[in-house]
Amino acid sequence: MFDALIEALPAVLQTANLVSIVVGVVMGIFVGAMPGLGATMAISVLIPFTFGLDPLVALGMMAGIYNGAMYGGSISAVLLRIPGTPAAVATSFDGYPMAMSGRAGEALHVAVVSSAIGGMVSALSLMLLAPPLARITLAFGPPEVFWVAVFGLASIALLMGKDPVKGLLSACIGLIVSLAGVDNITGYDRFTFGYLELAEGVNIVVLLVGLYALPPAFGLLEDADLKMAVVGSRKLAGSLLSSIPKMLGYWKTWVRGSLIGIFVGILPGAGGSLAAFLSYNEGKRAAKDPDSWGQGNPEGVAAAEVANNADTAAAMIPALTLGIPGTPVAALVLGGLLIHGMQPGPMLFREHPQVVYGFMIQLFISAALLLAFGGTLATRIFAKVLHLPRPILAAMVLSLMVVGVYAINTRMFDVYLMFGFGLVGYAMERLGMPLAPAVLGLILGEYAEFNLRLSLRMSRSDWSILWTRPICLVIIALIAAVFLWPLIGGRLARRKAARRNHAGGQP
Amino acid sequence: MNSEWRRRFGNPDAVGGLVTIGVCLFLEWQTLELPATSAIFPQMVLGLASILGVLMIAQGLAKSRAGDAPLRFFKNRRRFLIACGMTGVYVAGINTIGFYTSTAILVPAVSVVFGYRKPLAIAISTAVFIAGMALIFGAAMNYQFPPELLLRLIRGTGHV
Repeated sequence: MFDALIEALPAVLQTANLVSIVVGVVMGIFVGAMPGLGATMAISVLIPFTFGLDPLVALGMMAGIYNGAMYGGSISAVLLRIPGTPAAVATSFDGYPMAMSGRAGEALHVAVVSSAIGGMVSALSLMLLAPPLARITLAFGPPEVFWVAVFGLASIALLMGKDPVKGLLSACIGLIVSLAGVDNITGYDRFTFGYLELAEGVNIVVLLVGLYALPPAFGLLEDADLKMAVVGSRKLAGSLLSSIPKMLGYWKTWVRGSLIGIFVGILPGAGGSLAAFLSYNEGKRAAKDPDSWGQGNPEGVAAAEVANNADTAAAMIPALTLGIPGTPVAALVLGGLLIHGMQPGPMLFREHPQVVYGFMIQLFISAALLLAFGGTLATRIFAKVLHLPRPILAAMVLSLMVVGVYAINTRMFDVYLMFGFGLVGYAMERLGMPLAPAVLGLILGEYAEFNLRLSLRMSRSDWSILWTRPICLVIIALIAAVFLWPLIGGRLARRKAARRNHAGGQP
Repeated sequence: MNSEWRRRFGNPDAVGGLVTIGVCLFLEWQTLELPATSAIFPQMVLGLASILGVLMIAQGLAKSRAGDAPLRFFKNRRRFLIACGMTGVYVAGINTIGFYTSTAILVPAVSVVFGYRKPLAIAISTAVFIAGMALIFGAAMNYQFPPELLLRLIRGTGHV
């Protein structure tokens, strides 16, 4: 396992790769800092620009954007109390009060160091845990792979949103889109409606950009406020290096937050915001002065930031080994892998070891680079972005969306399709439907159908092959658990609330 | 009667469920001509989506019956429709007058229409953005966009 990592190292350290990581980190911080845009939008808009690049260079850029955007979200959380990413909500609890009291620089220093630590620990966990898991999954045949795809879809659909019905419907939308095109086995057109442009199916980037970039762009225009009210951005004094010794006392918070972030990252559908909240709560519970949390305690910023960045690479563990992303951003990175001809799953480690291990190292490097590019000077520059008026920002995002999608096949059909998906994404968001299951549906649809057909061919159309193999039964039990969890969780919450009410009602 | 019907079925969840079922039925009809091996997976997915559509309608109706405040679909309907219209014109413009020209019109137009009206700031932002796009995507990455009408006219090759 470590041989493969060492073998991938020279390729990662080539100039083009390093430059791509640096560019990715800078762009990630830049976009992540803008409220309403965030990491998912950054990656979805920027993925098309990696088409012409070597896979490792492209993944380096994505790794940089991923880590950069997760940290970038904290800049607006501290300066505006508007988290750039959902994962940065908990950062604003203490970051914003610190900025209000003239300590914005200190808050951002704590955020960047904690983000870098979380990201590096997370990358190490990916390096340690993904290869053995991939070896185990090599024992899977087509029926098991089919159920793994169903498990991935069910877990993302049921655990990511608040409403299981809407989550599953979102997954179905993605699956239906994945079926468009000529059926490779029978040669029949499916859902192409006579359009030759759809014969090869829907390019994942068209769906990604439409779903993830159009709703926030329109959101910027729907909002009547022209600018965001920035506080404390002029008080970013002091160097990062001089701040580090003061932070060493947060080591327990960093360890706790990293472990929480890794654990949550591995769980499909949980995401960085849950990791940040859990870490913040646990940190507050363990603190000697819990009352100071929420009033501008830098340790609160450290707890939230270390966990939401420890979630990033860990979310890639199920994504790379099983093809099940733990977060929407991980789903986008899977899309990026597909664009470069790599199917996520156990075979990825066998067929493209240099790329997959190289990507793990790139995640580590990009987390470390946060220290260089997220320091005071850089943060001061990025904070200027927040002064850009919303209408101008929205128009620029719309234009970038067009460039990215048009570049795929240099045809306007994809642009029309992308805006169509954008409107669907807008409707889904407004109806409270999570978007990530739709993306995963598109990624896994063809994979699931292919393995279902292969299973039926193996068994000569005997469907029982899907539920008679031991590993299949284990995965089916996991799927049942995922379906039952919202019911059990809801019942437990109701019982807890009733008990609390009962206790509150007693004299 | 009409307002009662709207109160019940005007719930976005109920409308979303109805649209889902309609689309599923249409797509299901499309699969009827496919051989069984091509149709089996789409029909499974469409069947599941139809059931979920019915559940969504039931949820919407239950919310209406419980008197829950209906979810506001648009943050600002007028602004949304203007944004849609401008995006449509922009996309149509790319095909007819070219990408850079359309973008040079879009950025100031969106700014002015949506309330930001500082001419110098708009002009500088637009110029910097267009120049950046031309440098990165035109010069460095050699992307081929639809031809610029203005350039064609200047060169005398334009067909208006």
